[in-house]
This record gives sequence, C-alpha cells and structure tokens, in this order.
Amino acid sequence: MTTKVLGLLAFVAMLVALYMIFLFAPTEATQGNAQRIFYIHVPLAIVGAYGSAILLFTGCLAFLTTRDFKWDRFAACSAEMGVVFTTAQLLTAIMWAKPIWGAWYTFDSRGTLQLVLLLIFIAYFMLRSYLPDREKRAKLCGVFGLLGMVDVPINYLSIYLFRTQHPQPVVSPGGGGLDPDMEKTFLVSFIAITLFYAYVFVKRLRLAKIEEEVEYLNQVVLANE
Amino acid sequence: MNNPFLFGAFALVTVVFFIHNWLMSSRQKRLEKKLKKLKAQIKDRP
Repeated sequence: MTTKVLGLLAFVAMLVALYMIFLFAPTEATQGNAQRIFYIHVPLAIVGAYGSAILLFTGCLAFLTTRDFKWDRFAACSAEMGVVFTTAQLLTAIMWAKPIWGAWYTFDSRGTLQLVLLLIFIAYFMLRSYLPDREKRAKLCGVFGLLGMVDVPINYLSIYLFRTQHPQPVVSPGGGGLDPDMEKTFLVSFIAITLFYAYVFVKRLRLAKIEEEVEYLNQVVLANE
Repeated sequence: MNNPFLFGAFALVTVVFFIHNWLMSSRQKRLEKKLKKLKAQIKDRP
C-alpha cells in the first residue's frame, strides 16, 4: 500500500516537474536550455548521492551498535541506491559539461570527489560479494560504510575550499539565489526526486527482505538433507 | 528547446532508472518463485 501511494505521488510529481522544467521555467541568459539540466542534477546529487551516503552511514552505525541484521540490509539497499542515483547524477553532469565547458569531463575537485563517492558505493558491494560469512560481511561492510562517509563533507565543501571549475553555490549557503520561477521549478523537481527515491528505496527494502527469507529457507532445506 | 544535451541528459537518467527497475523486478519475480518452491519443499517433508 505504502509503495503504491509513494509510486503514484512520485509519478504525479514527476509529471508536474517535467512540465515546469521544460515549459514553465525561464531560459537562463548565458547557458541557454542546457541550464535546465540543473533542475534534476542538483536534486539527484543531494537526495541520491549524499542522501544515500548518509543512509549508508546510518545503517552501518546502527548495525555496529545493535548487531541487528536488518540494519545491514538497510545499509546494502542504501549503497545500491547510491550506485544508481550517483550514476544518473554524473551522467547529467557530463551532458551539461559538454555544451558549457566544451569537455565531457574535467578532473575538478567536485567532479572527482563525486566519482570517488560512486566508487565507494561500488567498492562496498565488491566487499560484500567477497565475504560469504554473513556476520563477518556485515561487520566489515559496516566499518567500510562508516569510512566511506568521509568523502561527503569534503565533497560538499570542495567548491568552498578549492579552486574549482564547478559552478559556485547557487542554492547552497552563500549562493547567489535563483529567479522566483526557477526556484519554484527547483523545489518541485526536488520533491519529485525525493518521492521517487523513497519509492525505489521502499521497493528495494522489500526485495532485500525476500532475499533474506530465501537465504534462510535455503539453509533450512540444506540442513535437513 | 532543441538542445540535444538537455534531452540526452533526461534520456540517460530515464534509461538508468529503467534498467535498475527492470533488474529489481525480474529479481523479485525469480526470488518469489524460489520462495514458493522452498516453502513447498519444507511443507512436503515428513
């Protein structure tokens, strides 16, 4: 029921966001239509990449303190969401960089740290697949997930700390702000991406529960043979 | 509005989410089938 309601809400919000991005928001004077990528790029970065890293950290910390495997499951789902959403976000970044910078990718600090974040999510899965023992896997991945969080504050502050080609803050603290219509579009887009994230995450958590049930029953069958 | 990069960005994002959703759904179907089979196996046991 929750998944269906979330899915419906996400779908409606997406439609409204698409209408606002393509038809409602004014065209930016210097970047032209390529600037419209911003409306999905930033929510994907905040909700998808940073949000997943924070959820992964929470899951790992909760597992290491409570030793409850549901938190390990939660962390694994967060990492998968991180891989998907960070990939999508990096793809929007390269599609924006080509017309604006003239290059698909430049090794500037924000872009590189975002790529490192994606690699951290992927490495988390590699570690999981190398460890067959459930408890050992959960413990080691928990520690790795905690360490992975180190990237997030450096990543977020990189545009303040280093000389970078990445645009300076717009909606973050100290940013120049947006035109009121652009701001409304950004807000709707942000809500749409957040709802979509919640929908996929709930679906993934449900799948993880089935995975665990199958693993358990498999062991029961094997033990009785 | 005829910017290929703008449409490229939206198309790529859609493809990424579509692939993920498709993989997730097919895995869920496979696991549900397996779960049913395992439950039946346990039930049939004396």
